Amino acid sequence: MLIKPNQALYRAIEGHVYAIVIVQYSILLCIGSSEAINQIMNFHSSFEVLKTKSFLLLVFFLIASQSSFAQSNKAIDSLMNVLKTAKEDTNKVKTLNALGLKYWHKGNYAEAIKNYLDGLKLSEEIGYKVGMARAYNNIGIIYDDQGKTDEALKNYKAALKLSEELNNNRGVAACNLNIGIIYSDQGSFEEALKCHLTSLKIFEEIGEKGGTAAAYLNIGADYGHKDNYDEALKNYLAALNIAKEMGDTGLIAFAMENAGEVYTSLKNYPLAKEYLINALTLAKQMGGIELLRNTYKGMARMDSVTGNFQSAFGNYKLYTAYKDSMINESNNKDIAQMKEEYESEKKDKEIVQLESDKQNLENEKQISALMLKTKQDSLSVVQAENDKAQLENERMQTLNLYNQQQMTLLGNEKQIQQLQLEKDKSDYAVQKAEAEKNQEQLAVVEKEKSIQTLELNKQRQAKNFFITGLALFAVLSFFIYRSYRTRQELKLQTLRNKIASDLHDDVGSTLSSISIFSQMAQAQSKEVIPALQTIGESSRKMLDAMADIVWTINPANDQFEKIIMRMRSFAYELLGAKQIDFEFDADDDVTKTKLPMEVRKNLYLIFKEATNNMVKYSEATKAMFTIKNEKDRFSMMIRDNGKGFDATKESSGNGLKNMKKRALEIGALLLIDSMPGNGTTIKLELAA
Amino acid sequence: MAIRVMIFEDNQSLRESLYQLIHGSEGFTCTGAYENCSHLLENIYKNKPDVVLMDIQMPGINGIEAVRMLREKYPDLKILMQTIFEDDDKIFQSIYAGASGYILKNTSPVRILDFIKETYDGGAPMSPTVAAKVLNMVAQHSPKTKDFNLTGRESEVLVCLVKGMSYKLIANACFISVDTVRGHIRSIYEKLHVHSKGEAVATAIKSNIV
Repeated sequence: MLIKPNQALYRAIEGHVYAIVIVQYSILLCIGSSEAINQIMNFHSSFEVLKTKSFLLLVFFLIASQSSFAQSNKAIDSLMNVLKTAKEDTNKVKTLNALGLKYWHKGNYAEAIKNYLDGLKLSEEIGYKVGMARAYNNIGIIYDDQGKTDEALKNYKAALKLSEELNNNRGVAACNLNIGIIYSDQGSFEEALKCHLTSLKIFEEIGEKGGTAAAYLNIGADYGHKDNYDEALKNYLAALNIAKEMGDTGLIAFAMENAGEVYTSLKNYPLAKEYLINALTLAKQMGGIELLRNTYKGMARMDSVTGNFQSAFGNYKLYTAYKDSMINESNNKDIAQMKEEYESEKKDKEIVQLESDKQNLENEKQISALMLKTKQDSLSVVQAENDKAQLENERMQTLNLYNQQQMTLLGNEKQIQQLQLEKDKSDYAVQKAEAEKNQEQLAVVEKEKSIQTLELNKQRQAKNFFITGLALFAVLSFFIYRSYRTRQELKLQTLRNKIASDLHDDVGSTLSSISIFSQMAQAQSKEVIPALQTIGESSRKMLDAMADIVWTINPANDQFEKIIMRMRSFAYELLGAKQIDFEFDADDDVTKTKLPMEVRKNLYLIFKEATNNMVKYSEATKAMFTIKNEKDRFSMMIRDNGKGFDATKESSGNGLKNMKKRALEIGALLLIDSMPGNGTTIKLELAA
Repeated sequence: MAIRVMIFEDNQSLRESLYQLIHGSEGFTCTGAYENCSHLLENIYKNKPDVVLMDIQMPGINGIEAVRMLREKYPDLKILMQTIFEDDDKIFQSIYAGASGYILKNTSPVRILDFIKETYDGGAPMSPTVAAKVLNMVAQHSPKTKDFNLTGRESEVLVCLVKGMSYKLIANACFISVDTVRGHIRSIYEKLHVHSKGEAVATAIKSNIV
């Protein structure tokens, strides 16, 4: 389930959780489980992280650890239960031993020893020598922990003797190892070394790696105490090898740490650093406080020897921190132990107290019994009086009862009324609910109706849209068709134009060449050959005509303005060649005149003919062109100062006849006014 | 010294006739007559003509494009466009591209030689239609092209040209000599060329050729 607690609540819980954590920490410290301590320490550092996650996770964690705390108690309880009904046999011994171990882990040495001793006694009774040896060993360990070396040694030796009797090599080796440690603690390093070498030999023989490594480590330590660092190193490295073979990280770290220390003593600082750092890494992985403490101490020492005082200080601080926590641990262990002892003492005291209290009570009882007897006599008199009082009491009681019953009745009535009220209320609520339901149903029906109407409207709209769309489509397609047709026509027109121009180009060029050749031929000949002249002229005339046709086909030239321009150009070219000065007068209004194509074409052709004639025959030096549009009368006039000709004579060649024909075609009036020696005027008039 | 003329014309008869005409006339020599412009620059480079007769309508590179190409490399080369009919647009485009002038194909042979000579001398005949177009452009101040900066005189001459007045008449009307008229017309052309040249330069700069 995911809850998002509000801020205030969260903060309160957070504080509460933190409090639990602190209590947890102290409790676990009392247990003295370094592993648990590490857990808590890790937990602390990750507390920040956990805060962001669901706090329930947090609480679960705590509850779990709480239960593990409770579990050891539970285990003890369960063991004790077993003991209650156990038979006097080796199993009971084993149970007692296990119980002792549990108490030892908790730091409750008193209880531990008690159980071990019970185990020892039972083992003796049933002749279970293994059990005896084990008990002696374990007791020895406790005394060792407490620093009571003589007691420890005594027990270890007892264990050793039994192991030798039993030919238990492993036991012998282990006992020698422990005894050696005691000697070392007492400062007898030679003795210690002897025992450890014995232990090593046996462990190697039976091929127990763990024991061998431990032996090597201890031998190394012994040599170290004797300042024989080379030997110490050799043994430590041997231990390290075995530890690596075993893959026991804790052992590896331990061996490395010790080797590092020796290297420091040997002043081989690079190797010392290497080993110590490796040891530290492993120690951090393992999280063993003792290991960490030792490693930091080793590193601090090496740093200070090599002059890295800042680093040394840092490592020393860490060493102190771990040492203190261990001291706290051991102190707390002691405290716990003392507490336990105190508790048990207290309990004993309480038992004694209770017993004496019990006794006191008994005495008192007797006394009061005696006193009662004397009182009893004087009591009978009082008895009668009491009876009377009692009757009175009974009467009062009955009255009270009656009153009570009345009250109860009233109360019941009230309850009934209340119930009735509630029933009415609920009835009313039901009615209301029904009414609301009806209303909602009505609303639903209305909504359905409106939906239907909307749908109908939508349908109608859709239909309209469809019709409109169809209409639009029809219109659009019509236009598209139209434009398509137009484009087609345009394409056709363009094609026509292209054909025309290509044709024109080809034909025209050839015609032009004919003209040139004829000219050249003439030039080459000594005499005048009229035929050549004709050839040249004809070809040029054809060229001209073609140019005109192509020009008029071109729809771009439909405007009258363009025709005027063409006239101008024509005059310019033709007259320019003959050096005839001219003026071309066509004002802007005229150019805007709208004339049908037939008219335009004929006008132009007439103009051309007239101009050609002028240029050919008139020998004029000046010419005047005027095109006007006055009062809806369109007029074109061409005048020159040439020699003129006799207009009345019909035989004037095709030119004049053509002009007349053309003028007639467009319904225009053509006036030719010419007198020999007086120039020529050709005038065209048209009703616009 | 003979005027060196080169011909580009796709019609065979015309090409041959022109060649013979020019080559056979005194004062002229034809350095080459080609069917198309595929080896345009090579030909020009090899033969170094003074005047080029360029047909507008040719297969492959058309006349107007050829003019553009030539103008970039040979700014002083005289190019006369030949056209069969007065397609005002094409004419104007050729001049805009840098042609020195144009002649109609139906011009009589004598006139052709006259025109060539006139062009060679620096003249540049302009027909009224072309003049009108030029005026139009100037009047519009089309945003694409720069101003032509025609002087007042030049505009006057143009207007007269549009009216179709001969050089002599223009000279009278404007109270200047015929030579001056010619000079004005030439400068008008040059302004068109410069304009087209200017565009060429602009393009070059844009494409980092310069």
